Amino acid sequence: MSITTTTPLPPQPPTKSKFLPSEILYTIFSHLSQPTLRQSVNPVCRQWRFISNHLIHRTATWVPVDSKNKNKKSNKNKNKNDKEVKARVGFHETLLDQLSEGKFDTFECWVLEGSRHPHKMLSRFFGHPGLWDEFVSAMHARLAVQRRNYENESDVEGEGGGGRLFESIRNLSIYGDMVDPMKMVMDLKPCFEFLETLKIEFLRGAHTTINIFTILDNGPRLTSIEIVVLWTPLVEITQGDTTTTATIIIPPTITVSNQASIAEELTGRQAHSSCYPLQQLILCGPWIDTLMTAERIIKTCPDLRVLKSIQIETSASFKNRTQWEASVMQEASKRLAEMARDHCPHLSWYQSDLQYIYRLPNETRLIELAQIFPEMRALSMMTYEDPGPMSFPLRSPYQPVFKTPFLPDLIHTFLNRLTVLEVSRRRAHDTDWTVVNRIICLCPHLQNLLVPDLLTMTGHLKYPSFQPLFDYQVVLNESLWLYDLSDKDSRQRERAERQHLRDLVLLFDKNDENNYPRLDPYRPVPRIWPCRHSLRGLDCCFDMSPLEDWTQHVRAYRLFGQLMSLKIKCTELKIGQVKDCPSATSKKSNRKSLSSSLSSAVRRGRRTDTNPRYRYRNDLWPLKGLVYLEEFVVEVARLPGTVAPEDFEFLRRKEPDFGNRFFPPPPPSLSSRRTTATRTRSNNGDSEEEEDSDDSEDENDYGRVEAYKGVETFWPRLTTFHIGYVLTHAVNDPKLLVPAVEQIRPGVNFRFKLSPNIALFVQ
Amino acid sequence: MSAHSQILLTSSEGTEFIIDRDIADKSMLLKCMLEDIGEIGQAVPLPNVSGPILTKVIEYCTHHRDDPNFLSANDDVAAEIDEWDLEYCKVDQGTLYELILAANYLDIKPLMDLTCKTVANMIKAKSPEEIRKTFNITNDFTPEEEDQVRRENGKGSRRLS
Repeated sequence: MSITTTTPLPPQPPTKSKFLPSEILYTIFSHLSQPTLRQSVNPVCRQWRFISNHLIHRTATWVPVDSKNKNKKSNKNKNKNDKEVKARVGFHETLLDQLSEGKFDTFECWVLEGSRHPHKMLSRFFGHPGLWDEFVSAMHARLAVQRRNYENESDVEGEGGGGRLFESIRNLSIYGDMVDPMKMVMDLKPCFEFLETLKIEFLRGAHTTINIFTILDNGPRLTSIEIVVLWTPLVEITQGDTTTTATIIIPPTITVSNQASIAEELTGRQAHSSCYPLQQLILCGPWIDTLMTAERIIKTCPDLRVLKSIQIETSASFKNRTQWEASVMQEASKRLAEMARDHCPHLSWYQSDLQYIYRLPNETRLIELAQIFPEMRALSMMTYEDPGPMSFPLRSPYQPVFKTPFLPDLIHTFLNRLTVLEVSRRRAHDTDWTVVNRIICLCPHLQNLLVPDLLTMTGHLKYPSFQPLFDYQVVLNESLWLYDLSDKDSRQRERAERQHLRDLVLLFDKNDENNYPRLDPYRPVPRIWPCRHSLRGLDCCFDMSPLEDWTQHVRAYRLFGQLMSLKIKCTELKIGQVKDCPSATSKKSNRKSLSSSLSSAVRRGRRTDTNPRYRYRNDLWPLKGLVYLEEFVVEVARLPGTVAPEDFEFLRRKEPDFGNRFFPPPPPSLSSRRTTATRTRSNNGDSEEEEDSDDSEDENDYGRVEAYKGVETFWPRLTTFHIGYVLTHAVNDPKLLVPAVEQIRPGVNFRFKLSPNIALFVQ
Repeated sequence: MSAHSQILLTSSEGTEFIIDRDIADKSMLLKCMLEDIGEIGQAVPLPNVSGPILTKVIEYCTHHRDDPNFLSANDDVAAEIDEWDLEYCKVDQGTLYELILAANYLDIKPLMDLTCKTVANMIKAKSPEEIRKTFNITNDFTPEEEDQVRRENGKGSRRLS
C-alpha cells in the first residue's frame, strides 16, 4: 500500500456547494453539445451566459436563392440595370441586418459563379456571374456608412464609420464554383485576421495555386483550415509570397542510396521564424507543390492536432516534372511522417499521400504509420483499385496481405487500437468495398466511422469474403489456415486467429440463398462488421440505393444499436410527407404554403392524411431501434413532396411523465462489455460450442436496452435533428416548419436549411 | 533517482501523506517540482488541497498507476468513462467541486477531464431552472435580458437570402 497517513483525519463538516471559477466552468461547458449550451446553459445566469457565449456557434447561411426571381417580380416595370442594383442592395441589406448585430460568428455562403453549372437546377437557382465581387464588396463595407447610405437611398459609400462586416465573423465557410482560388485568397486577406476557422470548398476552378502562407500570415488566430476541391485536380498549395518554392525537388536520377542525404535535406533545413497556432489542416483534393512546402507547414505549426490528406505533387503529369523513383518517394513519405511526429507533439491524426506512393499496397503504408505513430487511434485512408479475383482469375485471391487471415502483428495491433476510421475515395477510382470492409472488420474497437464521400449500398455493409468462382471454392473459407498444423505454436496461433475472426464476423447464412446466392460472384458473403454494435458515430453517403433499403437492412440485422450520432447523405428523404405539391405558379399556394397541398387534395376528394397512395413511406421508421441516438443530420439532394409539421408526429414523446427531461442512463461502456465477453469466452473454453454462444450474444446485443423497454418515444435521447437539402419545393418553408416541429418535440434542436453541399450533385 | 522512492505531501490541515514517486508523477505540478528541485527530503506542502480530497486524489492516481495511456486516456473524445471512474465520481457536489479544483491545482489532466465530464453530465438534459436548483444558482437576469436570451437561443442559425 502506498498511502500512509501519519495523523488521524479529523471529522469533516459537509462541504457546501459553491461556484467554480470561470476557467473551470469553461472546461466543463466544452464537454457539452451546442443544443445543451444554447437551451440549458446560456439562460441560467449572467456568468454562465458570458462563458457559454464563447462556446456557442451561431450560424448564418447565405444562399443567393431566388434572388433573381424575387427581383423579377418586384421590378417588372424596370429595366435590367435597375434589377441588378436592387439585387446587390438586397444582398447587402440582409448581411448588414443579420451580421452587424454581432450575433453570428459562423457564416456559410454559396458563391456559384458558373453560368453553366453541371447541374442545371443548381445553375438556374443559385448561380450567376458576379456573385463573388458582390460578396467581397459587402464583406468589406463599413457598417455605419452602409446603413446611412441605405437610409438616404444613395449608392455612394462614405469614408470612415464603424467596423467592417467581416470583423464579427469567426468561422467562414465558402462553397464556390468557378471562383479563382488565388483571387479568393487575395480578396479575403483582411478577413483572415479575425477568423478562427476557414473552410473553402470548390466545385470547379481554373488551374491555379493557393498560397497557404498568405493565409497563415494574415490569419494569426486561425486554428483550422480546410480546403476541399471536388472536380479540379490542378489546384496546388504553394508557400506563397514569402519564400521561393521548388528548391527541394529531388533530382530524377536519385537512387535509394541517396536517401540519407534527402532526409538530411528534409530535416536539416533552417528553422522557420514564424510560428502559427494552426491545430487542424485538412487538404482534400489540392496537391502540395513540393516536399519543402509540406515540411514548412509541419515545422511552423507545432500545435497541429490533425494533418490530413496531405498530397504532394511528384508526378510528371504536372508542370513537366520528371517522375521520381517510387522507393525514394516512399522514403520521403516516411521522413515527412517522422518530422510531423517530432515537430507536432499533439498530433493525433495524420495522413499523407505522395502521388505515386498510393499505388503501393495499403498495408505497407499502414505498417509505416503504425511504426511512426504507435499511439494513434485515428486513421484516414484512401480506397484504391483492387479488382479482386474476378479480374485475375488465375491469381490467388488471398495473395495480398489484406486478403489473408493473417496480418503482420504490427498492423493487427494498430487496427485493433483504432477508434476513428475515415475512408475517402480517390478521384476517378471506383471504391473497392471488399478491402474497406475487410479493414473495418479488423477494427473491433471502432467507435466512429466516417465514409462521407463513398457511395454506399446496402450490400456494402457486409463482410467481404472473396467471392468463389466455383461452388466448391466456398470451402476455402475453412481452408484458409496457412500455418503448419504440426507445429504447436502455429496451432495455437491459428486457434487464436480463428477465434479472433469468429469474434469479428458473422457466418454466412446458407439458408438465405435468395438474398445471397452462393454462386453470384458479385455478392459478398454476408459477414458483418465487428463494430456493428459498438459504433457511436457513423457518417456515410447513400446514393446508389434508396435510404429505405439501408434502414430496413439496419433493422433486419439489428445493427448499430449503440449509435449516438448518425450523419447521412442521400438522394431523397421521405418521412411520410404528401407526394403532391401545389402549383408553383399559384399565388395562393405561395402565401399558404404549408397547408395548401393538403387542403387542395382534400378538395379533390382525396384522403391524404392516411391514404398511403398519396404519401411517401417514412424511411426513418425502421431506425426506431437506435434508442441511444442523440444527433441525426441528413443532407439530401432533393426533399420531395410537401413537408408539413404533422409529418414529424412520429418524433413526439410518448411518455408524458418524462417530458423534456427524459434521459435514461447512457449505454454500457465498451470496457465493461469487453470484460463480460472475455469472461464468457474463458468460461466456455475453446470448444466448438463457443460459436453458438457468440452468436447468441450477438442476437441479444441489439436488445441491450433494458432502460428503454416499454419506451415508445422515437429516439428518446434525441437532441439534434437537422435536414439539409439542395432542392425542394417552395412550399417547404423552414421559417414555418421549424417552430411548428419544435412544438411537437420540445428540447430538440431542429434545423431545416438549404445545404450548400455541392458534393451531393457531384456523386 | 529510484522510481520506488517515496514523497511526503502535506495537506492544508497539516495531514501528512507518504506516496510512491510514480504516483506523485501523475501530477504534472509535483513531477515538474521534483524534477526541478530534486527530492529534498522534506514534506511538499499543498495548501490548496484538504486531507480528504488529497486522499481521493491519491486513490485515483493509485488506481491508474499502471495505466500506460494515463495521459492520453481522455484525449479520445469518444472514450467512455470506465466503471471504476464512474463509481469514483459518485460523491456529493461539494466534494466533486473540490476534486476539480485539486485536479486543476495539481495539474492531473485525466482527473480534471473525468470530473468535468461528470459535472457536464449533471447539466445535460436539464432545463435552466433545474440547473439553477441543482447548482444553487440565482437567476440574475432582468426580464428584458431573459427575453433577449430567449430570442437569441430560439434559433441556432438563420438563413439570409
